[in-house]
Amino acid sequence: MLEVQTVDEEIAFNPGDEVRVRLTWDLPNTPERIDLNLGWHTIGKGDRDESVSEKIELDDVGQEQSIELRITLPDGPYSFSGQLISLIWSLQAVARPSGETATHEIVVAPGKMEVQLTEVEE
Amino acid sequence: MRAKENPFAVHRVSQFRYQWSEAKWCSAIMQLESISYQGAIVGPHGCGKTTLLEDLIVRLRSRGQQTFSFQLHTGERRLPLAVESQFTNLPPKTIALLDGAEQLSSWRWRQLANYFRRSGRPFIVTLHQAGRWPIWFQCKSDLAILNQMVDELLQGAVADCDETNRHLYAKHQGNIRDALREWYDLMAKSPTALTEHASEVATLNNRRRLSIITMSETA
Repeated sequence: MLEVQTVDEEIAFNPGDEVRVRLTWDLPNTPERIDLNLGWHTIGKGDRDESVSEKIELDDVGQEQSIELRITLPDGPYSFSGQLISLIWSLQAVARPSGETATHEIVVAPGKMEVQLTEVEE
Repeated sequence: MRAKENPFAVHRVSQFRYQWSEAKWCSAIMQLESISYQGAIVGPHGCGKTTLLEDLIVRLRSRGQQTFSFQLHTGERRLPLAVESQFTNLPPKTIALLDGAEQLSSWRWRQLANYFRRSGRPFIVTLHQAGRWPIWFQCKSDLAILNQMVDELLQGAVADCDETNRHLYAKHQGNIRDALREWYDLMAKSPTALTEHASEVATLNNRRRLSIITMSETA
């Protein structure tokens, strides 16, 4: 089991906010390390675009553990959603070398509200 | 419908892979070996050549074989110089794979093909038409594949898609990728537009019923 969550189960944040992240794992084998990635990706009609904004590598971890980390969110890009494309921020934990992954989606946008793209009338 | 909810978003469509059995893969790779890994996946636009090539790369790597692959997009008539240099300087047993080889100009293709012919090094390509390179596998488009993909992507959210599939398959001349892209647009549009489309399809087929009747519930 590998889990990544935000403390207090908050899912929406302002750019620049500090996020408290809780990582919990109980794996069959002791991992060499756990990576925590903060990043965004797009989904929609076109090919996926993605970027990792911050990566934290946790070495010397135990087989079973729960730790809390703090990450400061960048200024952008904002989470947005339209008919053709959505941009999604997420926290992703990856156990190495097993590759087991856990993901937690968050919203990063002013007012803690995902930007809604609307159709422009021609 | 928002992109992240659209069942036809690229990340969902690209989860469909070739459902070959272990025996089929073994046989296919043995056939590749018999032609010294010099073969082409041939087929029309949007029938799954790239998907098969990607699956093949995974298979080859799982067997411990080294690969180097590159994809040419529409209108790219030559390889970037650095890539061309890599293709012709690979370790002898590394398998070179080129997706979209038909994009290369005749001159560029001849140069590359001659290099691999002369050296006998492994080179696998995708092509729209036979003739440039020995055929390893011929992909065929099939309405049944589109029906199956749409069924699985929609999970019953839209009733009776077969009519729409038939219409889109014919409209895009068997190009399943483009048919799925149009499905994306249909889902992205308002329920009204979907109903209109369904109506258009029904009219085209001289039928009275709508082929999409539950979209408003899912939008």
